[in-house]
Amino acid sequence: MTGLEAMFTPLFAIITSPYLMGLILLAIPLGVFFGAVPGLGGKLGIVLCIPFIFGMEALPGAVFLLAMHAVVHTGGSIPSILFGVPGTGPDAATIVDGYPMAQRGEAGRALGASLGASGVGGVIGALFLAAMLPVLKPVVLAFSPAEFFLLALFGITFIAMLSGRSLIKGVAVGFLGILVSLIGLDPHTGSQRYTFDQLWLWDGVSVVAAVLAIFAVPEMLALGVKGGSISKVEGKAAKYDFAQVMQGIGDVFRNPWLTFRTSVIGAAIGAIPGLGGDAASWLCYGHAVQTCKNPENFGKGDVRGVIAPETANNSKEGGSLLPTLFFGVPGSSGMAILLGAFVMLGIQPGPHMALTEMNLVWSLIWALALANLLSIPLFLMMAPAFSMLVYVRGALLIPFVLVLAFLGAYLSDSAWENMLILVGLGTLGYYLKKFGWPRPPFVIGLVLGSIAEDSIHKALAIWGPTFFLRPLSLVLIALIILTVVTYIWRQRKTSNKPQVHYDI
Amino acid sequence: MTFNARTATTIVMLALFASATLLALGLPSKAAFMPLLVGIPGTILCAWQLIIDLRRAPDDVVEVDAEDQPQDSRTETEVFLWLAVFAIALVGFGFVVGGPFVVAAYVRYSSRDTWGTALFAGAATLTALYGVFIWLLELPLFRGLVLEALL
Repeated sequence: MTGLEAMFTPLFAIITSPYLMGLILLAIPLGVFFGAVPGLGGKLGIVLCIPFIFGMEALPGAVFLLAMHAVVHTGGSIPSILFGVPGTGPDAATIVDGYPMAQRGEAGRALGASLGASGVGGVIGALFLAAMLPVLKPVVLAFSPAEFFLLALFGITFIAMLSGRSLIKGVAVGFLGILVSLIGLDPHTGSQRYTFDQLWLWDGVSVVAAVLAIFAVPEMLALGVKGGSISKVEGKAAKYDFAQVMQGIGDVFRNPWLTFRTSVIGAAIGAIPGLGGDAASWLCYGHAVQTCKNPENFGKGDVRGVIAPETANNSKEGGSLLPTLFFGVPGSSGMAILLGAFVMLGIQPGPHMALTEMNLVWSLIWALALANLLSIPLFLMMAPAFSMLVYVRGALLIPFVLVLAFLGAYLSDSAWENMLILVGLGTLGYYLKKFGWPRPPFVIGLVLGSIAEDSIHKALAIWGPTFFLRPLSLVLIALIILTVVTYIWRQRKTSNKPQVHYDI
Repeated sequence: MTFNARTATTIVMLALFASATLLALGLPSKAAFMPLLVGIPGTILCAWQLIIDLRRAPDDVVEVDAEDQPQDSRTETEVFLWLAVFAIALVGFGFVVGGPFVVAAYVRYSSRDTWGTALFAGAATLTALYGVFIWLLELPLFRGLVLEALL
C-alpha cells in the first residue's frame, strides 16, 4: 500500500460508513453539551460516554470518543461569549474579547468567529498530526524497553508537575496508579499480588472502574456538597441572529494568517505532554495581541481576540494525540482519560502503533478533522438550544451521572464487585480532589503500570542494572531531572503566596 | 502543628503505600520488584507530604466561607450517605429496578423537587437503561444480589 493509499483509505472507510459517520454526528452534540455546561468539560464527557461504547469494536469506539472530545471547546465558547462564564478552563481566554462583543450586540459575530476558528483550528490540528507522522516514526522506533520504563516515569512526573501545584502529591498519585495496576496475578511468577484471595481481582482492577471512580464520582460528590447550579450564570443570554453568525465565520477567513499561525502554535503546544489547553489558548491570545495591527482594540471586543484562542483550543487536540498515541504519555489530562478509554477498547498506545496500527491512527486523524468540520453546520442549527444548557441544574445531573458511573464500572468486567471499587476509590478521589492531589497522574500510572513493569524486567534481562546508561535513556533521565528542577524553580517564585483549594 | 481532614488524607495515602510495601515483602522477588520500586518512594513522598501538612500554619489554607454556599448545598456526610444508598440500591436491586428508584429518591429527598419531577426522573432513567443499554446495545445489566436470590 502506498503512502497516499494508507492515508486516504481510512478516510474513505469513514465517510462511506453510515455507522461511523452516525457515531461522529452523535458525538458532536454530546461534545458541545459537555463543553457548554460550565463545570462538566471533556474529561467528564469521556468518562460518562464510556458505558455507551461497551461492545463496540475498537475503531468505532475510539472514533466516537475522540470526535466527542474534539468539539468540547467549540461548545465551551457559548457560555464564555454569551455569559462571560467559561464552559471549560481553556475557554477563559475567549471571554476577554468575546463577552465585550456580546455586550455591545455582536454575540452572533463572536459565536460565528469562535465556531469558524474552532472548525478550522481542529482541521489544521489534525493535519499537523498527519504532517508529524513521518518525523515521529523513526524516533518512536528507536525506543527500547529501558526507555519505555523511563518514559512512564517521565509521563507521571511531567503530568504531576503541570496538573497540580505539588509535585510530591502528583508523583505519589501517579505511583498509586501504578500500584493499583499491579493488583492481580503477577505475569512473571503467577503469584497473587494484593488480591486477598479474591478471585475477581485475579485479572486486576478494571481501568474503566478506576477511572470512573477517580474522576466521575468525586465531581458529583463535590457538586452535591457545593449545591446550586453547576454554572454561576445569571441573567439572560445576549440575542443574536444568523447573519451575525455568518459574518463571524467570514471573519476567520478574513484573517487567514492569524488563523493559520495560532492553529499551528496550538497544535505544537498540544504536542508537549501536559502543557494543556490553558497554555495554548492564552499563548495564542498573547501572540495575536503582539502581532496584529491595532493591539489596543484587544480586550474591548476585537474579533481577532476570539479567533486566536479558539483556533488554539481545537488544534491542540491534534497535537496532543501525538504523545498519547505513540508514547502512551498523554498530551493533556483529558487525553489521559482518553488513553484509559482506548486501553479499555483494546487499543494499547505505544511505538508499535507506528508499525502495525497506522490504519487506526489515520482513522483517528480523519475523525478529528471530520468532527471539527461537521461541528460547524450542526452548531449553526443547534446553537440557540445549546445556549440554554448553561442553566442546567447540577442537582438534577448528579443521580444520572452516578448511575452511569456505576453502570460503566459494572459493564467493564460484568462484575458487580467493580461497583465496590467505584465507591472505595471514588471516596478516596473526592478527598484527593478536595486537598489538591492531582488525579490525572493516577490514570497514567494505571495505564502505563503494566507496561513499565514489563519493560523494566526486559531491560534488566537484556542490559542488567546499567540499562539506564543508554543514550536515549540518559535523555529521558535528563528530562525527568529538568521537570523536577523546573518545579522547584516555579515553587520558589510562588512560595510567598497563600495556598488555596483548587480543582483538578 | 495542625491536624485536619487534609492531614488525614495524607495519612491514608501513606498507609496505602506503607501496607503495599509491607505486603510486597512477602512476595517472590520477581513479583515484589515493581511494587517495592513504587511503594518505597511512594511511602517516602507521602511521609514528606505529611511533615509539610503537619508543619503548615492553619492560616495558610484559605477555606471557603460557609456563608458563600448555596442554600441547597449538603454536608459531606449527607453526600456520602447518598453514595452508599446508590451502591446499596444498585448492588442489591440491580440497574433496572434500583436505578430508577434511587434516582427518583434523590431528586425528591435530596434535591427537594416535587414528586412529579422525581417520578419523571425515575421514568427517564428506566427508559434510558432499558431503551439504550438493554434494547439498543443488547447489554446484559446486573439484576442485583437481592433480586437474583429472590427470583
